[in-house]
Amino acid sequence: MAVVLTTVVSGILLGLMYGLTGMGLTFTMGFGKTMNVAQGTLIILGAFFALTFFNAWHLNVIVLVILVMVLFGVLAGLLNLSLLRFLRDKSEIITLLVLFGVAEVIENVTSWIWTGNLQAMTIPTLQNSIQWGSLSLPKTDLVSAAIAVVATGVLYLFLQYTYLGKAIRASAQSDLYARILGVNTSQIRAIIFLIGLVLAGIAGVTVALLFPFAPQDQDQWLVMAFIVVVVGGIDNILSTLLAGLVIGVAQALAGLVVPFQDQNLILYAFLAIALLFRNNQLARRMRSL
Amino acid sequence: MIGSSAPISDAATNNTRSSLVMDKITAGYHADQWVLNGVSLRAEPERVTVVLGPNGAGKSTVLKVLYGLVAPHAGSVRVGDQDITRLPPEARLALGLAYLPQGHSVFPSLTVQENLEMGLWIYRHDRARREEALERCFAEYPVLKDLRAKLAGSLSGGQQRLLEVARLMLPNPTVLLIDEPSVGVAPNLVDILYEHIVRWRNQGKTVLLVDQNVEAAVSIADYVYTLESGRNRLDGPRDEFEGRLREVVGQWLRLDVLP
Amino acid sequence: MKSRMLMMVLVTAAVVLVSWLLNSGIVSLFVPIAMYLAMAQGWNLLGGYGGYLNLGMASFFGLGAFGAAIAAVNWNQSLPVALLVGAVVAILGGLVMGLLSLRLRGAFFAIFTFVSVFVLEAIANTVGITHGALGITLPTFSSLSYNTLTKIWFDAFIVLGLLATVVVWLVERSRWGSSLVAIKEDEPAAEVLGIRTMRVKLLAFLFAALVGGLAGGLYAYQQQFIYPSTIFTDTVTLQVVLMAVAGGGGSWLGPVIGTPLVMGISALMRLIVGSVVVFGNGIPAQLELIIYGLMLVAVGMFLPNGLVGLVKRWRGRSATPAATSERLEARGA
Ligand SMILES: Nc1ncnc2c1ncn2[C@@H]1O[C@H](COP(=O)(O)OP(=O)(O)OP(=O)(O)O)[C@@H](O)[C@H]1O
Ligand SMILES: [Mg+2]
Repeated sequence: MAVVLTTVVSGILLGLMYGLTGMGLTFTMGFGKTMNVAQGTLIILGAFFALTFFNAWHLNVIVLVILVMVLFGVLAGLLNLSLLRFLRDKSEIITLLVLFGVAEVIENVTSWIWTGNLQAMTIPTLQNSIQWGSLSLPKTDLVSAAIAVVATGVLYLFLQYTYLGKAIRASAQSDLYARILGVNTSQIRAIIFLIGLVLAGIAGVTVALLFPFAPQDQDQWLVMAFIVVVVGGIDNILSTLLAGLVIGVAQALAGLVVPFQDQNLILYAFLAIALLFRNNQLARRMRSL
Repeated sequence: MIGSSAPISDAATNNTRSSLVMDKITAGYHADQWVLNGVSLRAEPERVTVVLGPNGAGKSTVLKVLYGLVAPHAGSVRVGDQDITRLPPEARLALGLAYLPQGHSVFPSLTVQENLEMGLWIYRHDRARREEALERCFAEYPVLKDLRAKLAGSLSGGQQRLLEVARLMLPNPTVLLIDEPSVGVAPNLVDILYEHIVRWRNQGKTVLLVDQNVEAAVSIADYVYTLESGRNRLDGPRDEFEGRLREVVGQWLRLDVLP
Repeated sequence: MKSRMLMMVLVTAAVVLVSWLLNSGIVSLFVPIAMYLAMAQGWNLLGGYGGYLNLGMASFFGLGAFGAAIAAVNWNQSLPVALLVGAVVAILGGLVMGLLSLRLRGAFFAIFTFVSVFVLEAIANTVGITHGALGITLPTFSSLSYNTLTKIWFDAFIVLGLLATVVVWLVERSRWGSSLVAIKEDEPAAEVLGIRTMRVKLLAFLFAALVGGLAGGLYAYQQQFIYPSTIFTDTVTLQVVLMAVAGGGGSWLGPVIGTPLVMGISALMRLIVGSVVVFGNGIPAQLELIIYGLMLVAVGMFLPNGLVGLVKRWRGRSATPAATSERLEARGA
């Protein structure tokens, strides 16, 4: 029983972080109507940024997160100014094509700078666990789960209660009607892209906290983000977080019976089932975009 | 009526005399397939100007060009003595234009209050003005105050139309571009809409109305234009016009089935 | 029509013949061009004509490669049977993927196909039948010299590539082709016109699977060693999409121009960068992929209709000066 409880709790903690990895994808898809295929690569880039800053200056996690957010904001600004700005009137396919190119460039530049080797960020103050009754919770898991919850919460409050957030929701429903009311929807798209990138950066910090990583791991994280999106849908970021949680718990529980090396397969089975069940719903949603 | 006493800072009322002029506009959605071929028209303050024409004549496109949603290929658009041909919609809003598109333009999953707030987006940096405008709006449409926390999508069709109209008037526009306000609306509400339009006219606003509901539109019109295949056909003050109108509309009726 | 076919056969025969006259070192340079020509044509039907951005060519390639390798090694089958098994596996994979994703338009389809590559890689790394991350070593043809083999592989790939080109050429002139174009332009309208869009798209997707699977099987034999990480990789997709789009997706000529062009430019760039020694320890291995990535960005930004599209536009201009298919800023749609 205690084993199950520990498993479920660590599944929840990990699952919240999974939800965060899918957040950027959900957000850009649901509100900006482009799916950023560079998401996995950007997550890994965020992890490398965190690692590099930590090794250089031994910053604490909050500062790391903020620093990575700023850098990703700058990166989004650059990409927007140099590329995406010119693609707004073109078809979505062309935007995707360009983002695919960008993803490849970033992945290979990352592996050029930081090599293709597996690396890990070890923050000494977070290496132990917190004991809570019979539960033993690693600090890294707690911190990354907290980051996920805070990031989602802030984003949710932003969308719900700020003027800009309302404009983002309005534009997502109808670009034309928002423009009629004077919203510069081209700027709104740029902001959505920026938020999506910043979310990928934050997710990258949590990846660095929890796992060893290498540039070519981007695919795993893209797959994870995609599973989260398929399970959680693209309409609501809270359900994205919840989807991550469900996946985390399911994976943890499956881990009790399935050998470690086969755990990924559980994840893909999850994806296939979710796609089967959600196909109609997603197709309808895509139509209304 | 014309001499407004409103404060200068009020962009929406600073130019009550603004007439809206469309001059020899050629425009369309694809190059070489012009939907409008040199259309000219003029809407004066304190007048309801009505544009009539069969389906696909380009009436909606006229409004889109006037509002900056479709960039014209040639010709110009002026409000007062200012050329606005190349201005984006947000700049036109700031000059006192407002546009009610065809169909339902509320944001269904935003609340009524949020929908109204979006109508004040151009004043997003001016909280005092927003609050004042909202207060005025709720005073005028108390129903909306009661519904403010509801999702707009959960409202009845009539309530949604009311919300659209309230949202349209929030920034206190002087030039109103209205596209088919009576489509898909219950008859009693249609009457209210036309009453609104007349009231706006009497307040000195410039109203440009596109409508398929010919009789009702003409009954409140001061000046009428007809459009066919993207070209001006007839125009004139309503009184002069009524006789010929019947003949022209009769032709369209044989061409299309009007509602 | 008949004369065109005859010409195609003659061209193929000529290319094959020339390959036997040339030095095998030169021919070996053209092996990847021939392979990617086939894959780019395979991609072209759905991706180019149909406007569905398929980022999963590597999945078909990998399914074909592992299907063939498993048939050859685990089940001791001969080369033709192994290739057939690879193609069937790829088509079955395509069927499952297509049914799951082809109703999801646009971005969702693209990312689904992209993700499929990684899912398949992870599966291939895990399950026993593929020998996991150790990969599979295929039987050798020890009776044949390296030179002869090089030419055989080139011929096999180029025949596949030209066959795929012929198919695309035929489809372009068929109802299937115009249905695909209609789907690209306006899918709901195409549906209203009575086009059975799902079937049209699925068949085009399966054509990609077939060609990708055959290319993968041949590649497995040619390389002799295959690993999940080098086969199921987005770099394969990247090259296919780049070559097709740079030449001109939605035209049979596109991949024919794009494949050698992209490979040529990439080789040239490596030469140039290599001769300017700015990088302390020589040219990084990632450079080629960075170049491809940048090329894709450039093509998307400046040449979204490829070279073929560019030429078409020039011709259109000179015929009727004002005729361009570019959309106005019709922002009121
Ligand atoms: N977004 C668009 N893209 C392409 N063509 C369009 C678009 N909107 C309208 N058109 C075409 O432009 C022409 C004029 O359309 P418009 O909507 O201006 O006509 P209308 O007079 O308002 O007709 P209705 O009475 O049906 O509203 C029509 O042939 C229409 O098909
Ligand atoms: Mg209309």
